[in-house]
Amino acid sequence: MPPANTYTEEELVALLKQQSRDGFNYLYQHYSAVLYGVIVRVINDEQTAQDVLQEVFVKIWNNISGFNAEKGRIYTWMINIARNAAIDKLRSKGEIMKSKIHTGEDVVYNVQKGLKTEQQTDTIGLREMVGALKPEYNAIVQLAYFKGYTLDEISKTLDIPLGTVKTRMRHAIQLLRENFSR
Amino acid sequence: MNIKEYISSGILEAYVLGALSEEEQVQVVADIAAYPELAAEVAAIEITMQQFAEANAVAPPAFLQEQIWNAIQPADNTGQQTEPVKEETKVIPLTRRERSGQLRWQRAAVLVVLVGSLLVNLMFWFERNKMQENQLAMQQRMDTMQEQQQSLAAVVDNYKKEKDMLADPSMQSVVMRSMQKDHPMVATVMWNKEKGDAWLSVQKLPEAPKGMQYQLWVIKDGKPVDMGMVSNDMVASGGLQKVSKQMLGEGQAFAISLEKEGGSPVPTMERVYVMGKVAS
Repeated sequence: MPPANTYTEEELVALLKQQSRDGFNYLYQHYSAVLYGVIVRVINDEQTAQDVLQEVFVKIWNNISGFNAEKGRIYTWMINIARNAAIDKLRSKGEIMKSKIHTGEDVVYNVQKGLKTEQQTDTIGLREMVGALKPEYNAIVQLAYFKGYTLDEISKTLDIPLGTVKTRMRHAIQLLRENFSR
Repeated sequence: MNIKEYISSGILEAYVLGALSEEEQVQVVADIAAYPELAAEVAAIEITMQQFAEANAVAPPAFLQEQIWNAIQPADNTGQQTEPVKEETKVIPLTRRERSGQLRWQRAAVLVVLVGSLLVNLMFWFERNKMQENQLAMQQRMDTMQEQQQSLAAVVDNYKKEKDMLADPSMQSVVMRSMQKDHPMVATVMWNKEKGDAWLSVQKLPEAPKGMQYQLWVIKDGKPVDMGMVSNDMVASGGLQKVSKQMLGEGQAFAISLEKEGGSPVPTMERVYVMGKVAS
């Protein structure tokens, strides 16, 4: 469920800088689902994901005064805060270490299994998106974006050359782009 | 840089997805700042990932809105829970990208100054090398000229002495001529009868072979008397040499013979090269 863009990015920043309850409500209503979606992708545990979502809002709230709209997109900024906070939490819990001990197949399987369970309860948009990606592309995007793997780690985990990881990553994003522009 | 290859390599996707190492990320940030095409591609990828995130959206439980608002409030009132954002390092690409316009100009300016300075230095260096070479060549020419001048001065000096002696009425000169057929050779003895001093000047004598030396003789009462050795250097330079031995009394003739180095008690008759009678 994409947020309705009733405010431009600049207007949103200005609103948030007022630190008002109205501003918070707007932020929460329009962006919490997107941010939470990212977080639960990284951390499958709902309780932990909720804790991280709270941390993320606190961070956005406390750092919005230093945010300069000219420096970049606030949307990307917020999503990155959510993603990084979730990955940090994942790492601190040692889950990433556990998953790295597993074989590449296990990781890919887990990633895909996680995808399937959410697919059942999720939006139409996600189902369309998933349909667009073949498993070999999907796994790379999932590992990088939601598990915080570097190219090198992905290459080792999936046992494919580094260059192939990069080109598949590009191809995957291209497919997503086409899919979204439809 | 080949922009198309760069973009198709997938490194920008890896950048947006956060899959680069820190070094790679720094490099990509710099590249994006330098090439607007790369920045445009990154923006497109970011929007795609934003749509991707939207497609993945999951509504959090409704009670969280109030709970989070409450979590934010005490932080505002006490100002204590405001923890610094760790993520700041990770959102660096956004802030860096903006500054890079100015940074790029500064870098370009620094580069221009550096390259300019390097060129000027190189020019000076070449110039200096050339001057050093010139100076060395000039020094060598000066040295050669000085040597030539010195030897010339010595020759002139000898000529002057010879001329003075020839002009001196107390000096008697005896010209010795070749005793070997078809070998023109000339040497002169200038002799002060009263003091017994004598000088030998060589006009034309062949260089003495190795291990051999010319010896000067005076014929007194029909017998050859040793007057000392003639320096080989003097023969070679055609110079003037004071005869090492005194010659007092009467003499009938002077002669030079080629002897073994250091001289002989009596001249080897077939190797008497020149001889000249003393005018009575």
